[in-house]
Amino acid sequence: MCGTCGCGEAEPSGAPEPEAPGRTVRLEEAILGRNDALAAENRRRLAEAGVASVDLLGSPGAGKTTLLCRLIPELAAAGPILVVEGDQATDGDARRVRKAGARAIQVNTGSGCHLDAAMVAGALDRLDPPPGSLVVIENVGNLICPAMFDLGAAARVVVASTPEGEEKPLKYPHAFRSADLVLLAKVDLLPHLRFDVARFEENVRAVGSAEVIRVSALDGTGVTEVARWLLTVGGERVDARA
Amino acid sequence: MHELGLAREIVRIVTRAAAGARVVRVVVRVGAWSCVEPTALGLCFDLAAAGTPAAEASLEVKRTEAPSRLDELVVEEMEVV
Repeated sequence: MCGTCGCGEAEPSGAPEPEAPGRTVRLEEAILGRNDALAAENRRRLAEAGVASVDLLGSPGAGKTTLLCRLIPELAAAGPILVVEGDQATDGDARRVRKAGARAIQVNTGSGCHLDAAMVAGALDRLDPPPGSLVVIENVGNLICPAMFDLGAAARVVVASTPEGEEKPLKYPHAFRSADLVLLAKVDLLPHLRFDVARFEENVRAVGSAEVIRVSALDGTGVTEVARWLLTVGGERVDARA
Repeated sequence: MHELGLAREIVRIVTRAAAGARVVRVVVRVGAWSCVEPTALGLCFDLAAAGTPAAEASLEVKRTEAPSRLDELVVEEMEVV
């Protein structure tokens, strides 16, 4: 039978000669190895400088920037706040957090859907965070791609808001599994929504081990608690100030 | 579309290891939790490999379910001629 289309004819003559077998080379090399090495370098550099750091993840519109703007005045009492703002385009978020009192630089990823460790290394070169400061890396609004890329921050915070529904942790398990802290944002909207907070918390526990704090940038719920958590993250900051 | 970034890294890894030889086949292992869509990775690989010694290479994606390897993303081997 013809091997091309199964027509029952003999194999057409003039078919290309099968290629000489090649040499197989065993590689076993991590695809994200270069990113992971750069992230480890960022982590080492931040720790050595006595700088605390967090990576902030969440869907577009979850309220990451609004919450950050609300947190900055509380955090600023303890030391300088430096923000790396990741977005595909515009520098609107960097301008917002500057207005709230932080030093900020915007990283535009263009067509990219996430920040990577090299972008953060470049941002740290420009920010040059002083000892005792806190670096917040706000990733591109996206719960999928950023979860894979280690940036070198000491901890990861994932923000999910009440209008997004209770199932977010189950739908995007990678992000929630990698979180050290989950913030349930916009809890001021709860009286207007059918959102089961206990079920959301169960769903977070189903995929990972992150603590959940309920917050509202509007009425201030949880803001002090989150600020306290961020200031103890990494420990380096606390040590540097002791 | 983080697959494009991953595909570029795969091409970088194999072309460097091939040291000028032509790459005809690449095998990668993708853990079940690694957020990688094999079809998208294949499309992106073709784009990333264009104009490189891996331009004609086929990409084989092996999905791993082993509990200790759920997050892995590894270039396992390649064939060069």
